[in-house]
Amino acid sequence: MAFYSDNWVVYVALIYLAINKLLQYTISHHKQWKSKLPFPNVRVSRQRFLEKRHEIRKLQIENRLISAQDNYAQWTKNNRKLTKLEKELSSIKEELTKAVAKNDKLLGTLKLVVLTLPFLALKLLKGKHIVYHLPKSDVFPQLMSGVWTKGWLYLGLAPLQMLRGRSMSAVSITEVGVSLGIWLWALQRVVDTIEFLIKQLFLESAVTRPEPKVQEVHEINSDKIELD
Amino acid sequence: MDLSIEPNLHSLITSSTHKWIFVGGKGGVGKTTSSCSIAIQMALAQPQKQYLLISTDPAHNLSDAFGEKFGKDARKVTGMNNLSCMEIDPSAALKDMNDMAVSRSNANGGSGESDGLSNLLQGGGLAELTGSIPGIDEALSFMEVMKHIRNQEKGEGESYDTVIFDTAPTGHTLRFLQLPNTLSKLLEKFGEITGNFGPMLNSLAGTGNIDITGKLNQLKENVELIKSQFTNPDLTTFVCVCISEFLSLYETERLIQELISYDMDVNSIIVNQLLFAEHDLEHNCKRCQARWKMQKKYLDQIDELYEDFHVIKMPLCAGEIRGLDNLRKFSKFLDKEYDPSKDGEVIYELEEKN
Repeated sequence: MAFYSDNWVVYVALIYLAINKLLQYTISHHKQWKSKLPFPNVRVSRQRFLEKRHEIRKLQIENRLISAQDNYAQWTKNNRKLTKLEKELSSIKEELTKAVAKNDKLLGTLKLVVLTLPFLALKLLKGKHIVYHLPKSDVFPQLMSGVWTKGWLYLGLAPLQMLRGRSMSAVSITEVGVSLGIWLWALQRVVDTIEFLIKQLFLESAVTRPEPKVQEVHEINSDKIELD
Repeated sequence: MDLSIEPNLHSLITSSTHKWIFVGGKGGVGKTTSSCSIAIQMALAQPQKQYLLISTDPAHNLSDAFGEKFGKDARKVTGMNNLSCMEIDPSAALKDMNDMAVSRSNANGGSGESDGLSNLLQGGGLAELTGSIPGIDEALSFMEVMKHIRNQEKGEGESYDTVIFDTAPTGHTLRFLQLPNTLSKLLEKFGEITGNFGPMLNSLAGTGNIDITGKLNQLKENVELIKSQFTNPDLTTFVCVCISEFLSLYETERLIQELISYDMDVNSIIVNQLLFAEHDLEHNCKRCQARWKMQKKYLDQIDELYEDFHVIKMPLCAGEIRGLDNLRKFSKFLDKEYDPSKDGEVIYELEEKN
């Protein structure tokens, strides 16, 4: 089985595949990672959000410490400030949500441009690129390889070839190559299957056998009827 | 030019632009006395104008305040040419209207002629909605009140220049002012739903049934029309009434904040039932002094909190302020602030008349 190890197409495809799998495995951490990315719009909004929240907590504590009846004016002023701050906080929160959504969209586009589209382009443009050729004779029986490459005529001509004293192997059999598209598909299937097996065998908790239900049997043992 | 805020309602009493004046506050703080006093003072200050005082409180007491019976039709106050009163219960009126709409709809097989609010209620169909949309109940009630005022004007043949509302102490009286926003959101959602499931909804509703979107649009337009008047500070103002106690002040603050959120003009607070004990040497008692001390504490807080408000300090009288004469005497302190050292006698004069 010949493998063209100097083929850059295969290496690039493998890298894309590995990155995709990595992103798939780490999907639960993406939100956390994204929050740590230094987007200026999110950073500013988050800073303001934290400051406002701190201010609100400070005021709430202050208001809890003073007597509303003895310091009514102060208490009310604090309440007014609190209402104002809470409104501001909710608008910052909205701003933050919008900024995060915008950044998510940006990252999505980035992923599309850097990963998905090039990978798709690679598959489309280089999909028929032969990764390796299947060996001519030793993968399948001679007869089968002959039918595969020459068609059913090979089978029909086989007795004639034998009568003419020619060996069956003398017939030239065309080389069968495995294209990048097929190879990637097969590779992904293998990885997915291994992934599934590992998950089922080691990571998923065992399902307990359900207890068989004991049905109550109502039998009529007596034909007496009680009267009121 | 003196920019300090006067501690009286002179500017409101002599105002030539105000068409709607709301008087509100929690129960038992003297709302009715205050609204009667404002109405009387306005009527006295501008005799060429016609005034209407409406109680929308189900527990009506305008009749008790003036000592004569008023009903749901406007009637002039005896002794005053330009002040009329009426007592209506908007929610009860709305219920009557709804019941009538239902019966008319049943009688005409759903194709009866209808107009205005009854059309809006359409066979009582919208009654289901009134409980679920915040402010819609108040809006429908208020529209019923406005319609009633219009009918009165038609019947009496004269129009009212200013209407003074003695509102119910339930709060949320003017909650309907935020209704256009609520309805806009609701209609937007409705648009989405009817866009997706329109034919299905129509088949469920049946032919000739409720055109909810259309009705809500109509309601929104009506409320927006009222809102444009009520949020104009030249036309409308709200006078808060309270007493100098913690809970009353707390509720007043909440009311003011709520009104501000509706973009309503609110710049006057009447503080009722003040004892002014240090000037009341003749009938002074320890309890009055202690209570006055507490009231003064809250008055200071009011002054600090509402610097840009007209804060009117009204005395606690020895008896109930009932009858036109007593109300006239008491109400003059709204126009010119009460001076305990000079005006103290009025407190006991009122008692003698009761």
